[in-house]
Amino acid sequence: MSSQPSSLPRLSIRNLSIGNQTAFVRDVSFDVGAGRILALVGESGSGKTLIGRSILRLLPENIRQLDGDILYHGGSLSGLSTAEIRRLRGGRIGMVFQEPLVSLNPALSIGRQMAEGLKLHLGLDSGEIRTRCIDMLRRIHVPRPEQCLAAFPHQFSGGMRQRIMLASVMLLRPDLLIADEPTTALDTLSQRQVIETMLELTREVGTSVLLITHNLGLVDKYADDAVVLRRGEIVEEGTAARVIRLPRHAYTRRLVDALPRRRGGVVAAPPDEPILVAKGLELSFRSAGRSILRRKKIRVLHGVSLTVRRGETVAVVGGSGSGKTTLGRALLRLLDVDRGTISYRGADVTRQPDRQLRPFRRACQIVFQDPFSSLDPRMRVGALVGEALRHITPLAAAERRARVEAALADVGLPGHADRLPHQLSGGQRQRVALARAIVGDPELLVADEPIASLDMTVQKQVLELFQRLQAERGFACLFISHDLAAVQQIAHRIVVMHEGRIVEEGPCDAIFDDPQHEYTRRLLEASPLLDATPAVTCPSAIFSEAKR
Amino acid sequence: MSARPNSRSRIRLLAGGLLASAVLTMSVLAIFWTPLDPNRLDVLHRLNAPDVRNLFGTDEFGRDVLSRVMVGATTSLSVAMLTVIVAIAVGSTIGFLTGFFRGWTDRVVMILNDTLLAFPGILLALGLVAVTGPHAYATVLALAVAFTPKVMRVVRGTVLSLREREYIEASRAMGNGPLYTLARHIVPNAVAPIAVLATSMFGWAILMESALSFLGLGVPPPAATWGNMLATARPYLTSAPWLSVIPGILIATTLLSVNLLGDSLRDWLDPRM
Amino acid sequence: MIGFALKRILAAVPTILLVSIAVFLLIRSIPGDPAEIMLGEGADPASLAAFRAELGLDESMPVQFMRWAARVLHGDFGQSIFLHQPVAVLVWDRLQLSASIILVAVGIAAIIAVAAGLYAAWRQDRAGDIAVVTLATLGLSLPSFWIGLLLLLLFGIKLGWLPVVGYVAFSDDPGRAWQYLILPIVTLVVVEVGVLTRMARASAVEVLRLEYITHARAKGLSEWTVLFRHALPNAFAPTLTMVGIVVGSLLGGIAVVETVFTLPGLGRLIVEAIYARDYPVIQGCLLVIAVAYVLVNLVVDLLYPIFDPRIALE
Repeated sequence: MSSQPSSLPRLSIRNLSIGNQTAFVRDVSFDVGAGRILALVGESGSGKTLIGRSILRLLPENIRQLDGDILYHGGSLSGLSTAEIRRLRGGRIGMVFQEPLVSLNPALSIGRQMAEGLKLHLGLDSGEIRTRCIDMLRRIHVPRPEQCLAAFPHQFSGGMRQRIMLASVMLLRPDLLIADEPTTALDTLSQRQVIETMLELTREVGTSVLLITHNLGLVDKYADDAVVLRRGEIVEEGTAARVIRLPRHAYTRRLVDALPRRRGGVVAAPPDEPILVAKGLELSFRSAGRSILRRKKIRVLHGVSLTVRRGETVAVVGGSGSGKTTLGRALLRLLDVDRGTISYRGADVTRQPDRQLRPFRRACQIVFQDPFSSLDPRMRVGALVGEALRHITPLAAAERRARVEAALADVGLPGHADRLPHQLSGGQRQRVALARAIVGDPELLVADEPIASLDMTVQKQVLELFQRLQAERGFACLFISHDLAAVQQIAHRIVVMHEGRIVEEGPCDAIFDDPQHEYTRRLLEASPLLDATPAVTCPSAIFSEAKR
Repeated sequence: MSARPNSRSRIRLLAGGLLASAVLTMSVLAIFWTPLDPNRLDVLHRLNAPDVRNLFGTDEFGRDVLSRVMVGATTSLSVAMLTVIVAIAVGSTIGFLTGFFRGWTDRVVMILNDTLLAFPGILLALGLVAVTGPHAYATVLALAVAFTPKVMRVVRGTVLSLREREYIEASRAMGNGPLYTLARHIVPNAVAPIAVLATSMFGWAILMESALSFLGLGVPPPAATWGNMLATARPYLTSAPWLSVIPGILIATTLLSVNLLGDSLRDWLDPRM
Repeated sequence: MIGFALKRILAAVPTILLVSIAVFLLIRSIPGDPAEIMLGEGADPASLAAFRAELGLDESMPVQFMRWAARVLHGDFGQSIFLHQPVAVLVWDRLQLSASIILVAVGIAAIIAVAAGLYAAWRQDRAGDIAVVTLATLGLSLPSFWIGLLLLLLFGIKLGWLPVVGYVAFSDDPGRAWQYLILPIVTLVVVEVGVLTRMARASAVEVLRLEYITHARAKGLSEWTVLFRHALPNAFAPTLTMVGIVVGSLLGGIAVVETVFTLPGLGRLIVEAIYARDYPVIQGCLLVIAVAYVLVNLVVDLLYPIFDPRIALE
């Protein structure tokens, strides 16, 4: 879709192909209009990052532009020399990357890194540079900007680093900004801050933005235009609103579909017997310090009480540092609490030694966030799942194998028993972890951010798997997540945590429709939601953002 | 999913393998047979340049250098092998236990280990030889003591990082006891770094043993090791240069092959780590 | 930052203490009469008795250690049995020579290594990289004494450019002194540059893969600036640690080079002392070298934050 015919599109991609022996990007064409935000949408492997990098010729070593052209203000970039491209880099075309941890050089101070671009492209003297940097930092609400200049990247949180990087890129007032997944590694609240900062700064200068992302929620809320990529090819393009609300291509529809939606109308689980009851849990860590004297006590859980009943799904949500992950582990006695009690079916398990906890452990299982580190890389899938059956004593080898196969079939991986973890995709590994958790017929499953590291369509599949397994086997589930959008699909009850305390809890609908606490409201605002019962293909679907 | 073996690593593996087999064959062969008796003195034919009868010439006592070099291979390689086995066995055991179970025993062992590590390796070996006197087994002991702390530290470090992986927590969450988790999940995943360390250590052992023997503090004559052959060759540097060149070539070749094989091993194992 | 430095310095103290205990125990573990061991077998009964009283042999081990430590802290390391000189003087003289050779050689090797490593990482998998890695691996595989002998053969004997034996102190005649030091230094450089280059290359390769390098390029900086301002500090830090280790290993290992070039250094002193069973000297050398190693590591630790600020502010 072209922009207004009267003005030249700021960036024009024409039949671009990128790759080496195989083409990872094939014949891609789109335009970014002046002052507009175009979202380049796709899952992993779609080639969107490669397109972003090719504009400034920052492709990895063995990958190059095979065909096509990139036009900036109508002029071809492909014919420019390296020196000329370098002049464009930073000064006219800015780029922001995904990982705030490694985008800023840990060995140099913030001030030096911010100043570099200014010195190079605008040739200002150090006094002027310093003034501009401080002004910019103040604008993005960084506390104590002068000290910030002398500080180092690791002293700031991920979200803050990302905003500092945005600020230093926008200091040069480029008229095109390429933002490669700028918010993916951040939690929901930080994501919002970063995007809003980006919008503010780019609107002021009139910068066009090429926003590379897989998060459709962001696209819906912030982008003007959208281009959907699949395996290196464009499958759909148009205004963002149209693409999301009235998708034409089947793949786009699948992506939009993958956005979790609320159950809508499902009754909360009937009050049933409690499986796990936690009262007044308190936990402090001593921060890792070199000398024993210097360690500080950090309170992670402040008097947290929680009950999980048979068959229900309780979602624990909160930002990073809220204590939700610690809570999950403490409930399973993988961490010891300082004070408080945990009872499993009435029996106190708070201080029991591991040996006596075997029945408890059998009944209460956990699925972790990182599918890459939760499976022993040296064991085959069958052995990994079978290990969970070790402590169910009267079990012959043949019967064990049968149960393992059944569990694998249940999670959609029949016949995978002989594979090794590195041969599986992230989604498949998570299924194996799930199979391992359910093979022993647990009563409670703690899921610690189980879908956060997965692609959007895969997230949907795994969530549905959770639902199905729960319906079939009737276990309770404690679902820990920072993403409210995901939990709305499966949660009966929601518990909101902030800085180690539970600030609000209640039935799913109540939390979404009528949040009481300030923090809950902030979380809801930060996650753009698509919420409806009718299927997305229905043209008259009504979409609304979460009400304030 | 190991690294695609490109031509560079193939050449490296090939070269290392060839050199290693040559040295290994020589040393194994020498157990049974050498061209001439390595200890037979023949004063009439001393300091002969290499010729048809003595392919590497004769030394200052008329002994055949080739035979001595072969026997030297056996000695040097056995000392190195023994050292590595002892150091790895002892160091790994301590490393696994202290790294996994932590606690105050860990702190005590670490302090002792750090004290030993505070000495440069060869100094520790020298110190021990000062107490025991030069002898083949003393050399093994001295080198083993010098290397064990390093093994301990590497293994402990590996265990500490593996401990943080989620599959270790998962094992506990399944109700598995700590010894089982250690044996089933930690040890197999620690084999790779230990193997790489063992190959490097083998090279250092060869080097240190020859250095000690060169100084006269390692394996004492008349037993032949490459190191002490170089030591006795010094007065004849100009008159019989082959005596100085040949044992050194063998040490260098062995070290080179160990390094090449070690690199190949690291390449193969690396992506998994 | 000051706090970090102080903490590190304080942490070195217990290490030095433990090291001295280890040295003390090692020498005391030699079977036989400690007084005879330290004074030599030909000593007269009167001195032996006096020495025994001084050592406090009838008192407990910890007390003996403290008496010994007290004397050491006053600079009294005992007397060499064979050279009839105070050990402290002997060791100090020799240390200066060995230390200067080591520091110069490692300094040169480090500079070459960082430059070569950075270059190799930049040109990864291409001809330049392959050449550098091959040379480094070769260098690693050469024993120092052999290289020393070969260099001596070539430059000293065959070409006659440099003196073969002997030594002239720097303080006496700098003009001639350096001639005696070139070959030993070159030998050490050849031997150590290999391991340092590989370390530098490996860390540079890792660093160049990281996003902030791409980000730096995205700012429009020239490749030079990217390499030297952004890559170098991060790549150098692990190499710095390696430099400390290399210096430490040379503190002991320089004995072989000193033997080949007949230099009156600390390494040769300890070797000759072992032959002669001159235990006071052995003890003094062990102690001094070990403490020197601790100090070297301390310096490395203190320099580290310059390259990796994350460490100081943990």
